[in-house]
Amino acid sequence: MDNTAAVTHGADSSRARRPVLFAKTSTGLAALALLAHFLPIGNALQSQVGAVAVVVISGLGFLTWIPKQRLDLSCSVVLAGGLALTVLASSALLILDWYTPDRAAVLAVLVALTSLFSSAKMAGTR
Amino acid sequence: MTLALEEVRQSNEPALERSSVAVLILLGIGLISWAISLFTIDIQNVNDLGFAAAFAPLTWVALVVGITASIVTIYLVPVASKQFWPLMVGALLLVIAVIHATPMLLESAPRFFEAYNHVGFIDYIARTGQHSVQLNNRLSWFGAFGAGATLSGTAGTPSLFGAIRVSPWIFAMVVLLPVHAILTKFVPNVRARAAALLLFVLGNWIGQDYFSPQAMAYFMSMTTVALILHLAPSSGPTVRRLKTWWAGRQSLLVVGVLVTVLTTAIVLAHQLSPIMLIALVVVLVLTGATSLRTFPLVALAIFVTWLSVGGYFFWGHHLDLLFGVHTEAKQSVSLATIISQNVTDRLKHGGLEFVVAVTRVAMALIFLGAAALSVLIGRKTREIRVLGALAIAPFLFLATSGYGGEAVLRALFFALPFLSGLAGILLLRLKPRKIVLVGLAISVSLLATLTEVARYGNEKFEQISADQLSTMQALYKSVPKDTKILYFGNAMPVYFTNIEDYVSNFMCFFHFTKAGPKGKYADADILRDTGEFAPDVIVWTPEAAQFSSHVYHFKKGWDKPLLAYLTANGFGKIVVNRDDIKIISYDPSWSPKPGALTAHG
Repeated sequence: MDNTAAVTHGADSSRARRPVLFAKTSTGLAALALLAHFLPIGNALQSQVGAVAVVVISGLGFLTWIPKQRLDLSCSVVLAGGLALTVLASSALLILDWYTPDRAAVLAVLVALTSLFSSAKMAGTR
Repeated sequence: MTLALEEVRQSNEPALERSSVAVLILLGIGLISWAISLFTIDIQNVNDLGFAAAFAPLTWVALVVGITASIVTIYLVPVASKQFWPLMVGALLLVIAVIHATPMLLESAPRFFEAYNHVGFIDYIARTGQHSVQLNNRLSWFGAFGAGATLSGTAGTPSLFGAIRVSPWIFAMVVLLPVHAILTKFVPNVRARAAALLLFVLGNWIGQDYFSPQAMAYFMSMTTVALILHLAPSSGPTVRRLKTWWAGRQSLLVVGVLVTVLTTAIVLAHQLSPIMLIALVVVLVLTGATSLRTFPLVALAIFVTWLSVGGYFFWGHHLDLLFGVHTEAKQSVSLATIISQNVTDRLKHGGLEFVVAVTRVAMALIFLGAAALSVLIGRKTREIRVLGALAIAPFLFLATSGYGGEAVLRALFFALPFLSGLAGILLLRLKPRKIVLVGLAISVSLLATLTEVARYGNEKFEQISADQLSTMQALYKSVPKDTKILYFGNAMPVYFTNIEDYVSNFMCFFHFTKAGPKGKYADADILRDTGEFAPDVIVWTPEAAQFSSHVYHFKKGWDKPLLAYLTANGFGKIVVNRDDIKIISYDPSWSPKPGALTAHG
């Protein structure tokens, strides 16, 4: 059976537990990222920490579905997923005429976390 | 046959172990050669052949050694060993470093002029939170610029200039991830896949990897294709057996949501990439390579929705662009003409520019030819047939869109992963004899030389100097609000900060009478449009003038008499008069202090 299908459908219990671990790790990272984004530690550092955090955290959300041995696909999805969420969050706020970089970053992180916990819950309950 | 070769290789394990050591030594030599050569390259030697003309002997050594290390790894290092992929990745990174990181490290200011426009859009969104299409119609697709503003935060334009500098290098590396993920589904032979990655790196001369929405959209598109193949795979029948094919469909919620999120982001980021993505997904669906039978319709719906709403400002008055009718001077242009523009027109240049143009066409033909041969030989294999269809699909875009310009190049770029996969399979049909390996190392090194010329040729107008950049920064800081600025062409660092504070126009976009910018009325046309625009400031750089000749068919040397005229009538005041940039002011209320706009002033 395809490994991914195993994870998605909960056929492999050890894989199914991994999202929970990711969720815990990511929660810590997300908290740090959000904190760093608003701390008065210099604009450049804020933005760089925020940028990296958005990409990493949103990517971790997607990683929960993907087996570790598919490193190429996992890393692609981490990066592309992070970019996509940032594009969508930024676009949504621009359309609503409510855009600031900080709000977009926070929205992207929140969406990523939501997807992360949803996936963790799905994997954990199966 | 491949299996037999593998057995032969595995029976020679001790000799193959030595090959890993040999590759490590080669990589060390290559890296050291490249590092030393960086101190000996004189950037002044860059000419129309690009960096190839300025490369020091040691740079070439590094490139050849990188290629040789790749070939040795592909054919001789045991696939089962832990060293295979680390060595292959090391060799690929060395080749990428020589080709893409050399300009990045040596140029005084990052290339490429279009990227500066993108910095301007990002800067505008970050400061104002707006995406006014009145300012520039490219802001109809604000997703990538918005993401750029979010990711850069309050970092500002200097940091974004850094992003311009590293973009091609970073892109060349990370795009290998989804490309490899895609190829694992079609190229089961690990060595052939490694060869395909090397060929992808060498085939990426197309120059769409700069700091741009299309680079971002390309990466997301390839990831989407990889995700579909891995999370919703199928080996069912093709659409020719319609009933069985349709019965094999699946509705995978998680995968569907994932690829829909990515597709929506692509649609918001770049106007053309979604069409290419849809073309590729349609092939996957029709060939039964994925069970997501209806996803192309979803993708098409997202694309059309945004085009109808967000993109209206762009196409509202250009319906012809949507329906495959490209127009020039109010005359419709056929598909043949679009291809002609992309291929034969580029061959009309003289001297070294001709060499660069021929090199680019040759590169495309080499990849297309190798892929065609690979399909011909392996046509009985399903994966090869699907790869062949995927390689053709992006070119169908030419028939569905009136987008002229670089249409063929973009189609080639989207086809490249599949062309490389087919060429990689072809390469691994060769038996790993000594003479073959030596021949391959030589011929692939020659291919890498062509890549260098094709990718970084025509440097003169793509290069930007730090002096020009600092002068333009000083100009934008000092001009009053609503200043009208006219440029001799668009190949210069412009429009990168406070873009809402001034009005820009470019002579290359002027309207010409029927004879065009080479005709006998061209000078009068330029003066007429200049008068109508009534600029406060005019900026000239040699690159801008040369680019207008190269791409927009202006007469060679057209700028010299015009410059003389603009400065001789006593009305304009030259505020910067250097060989690399001239700025003429027509605004009596604006007179910068002497030296204020000079380099680093």
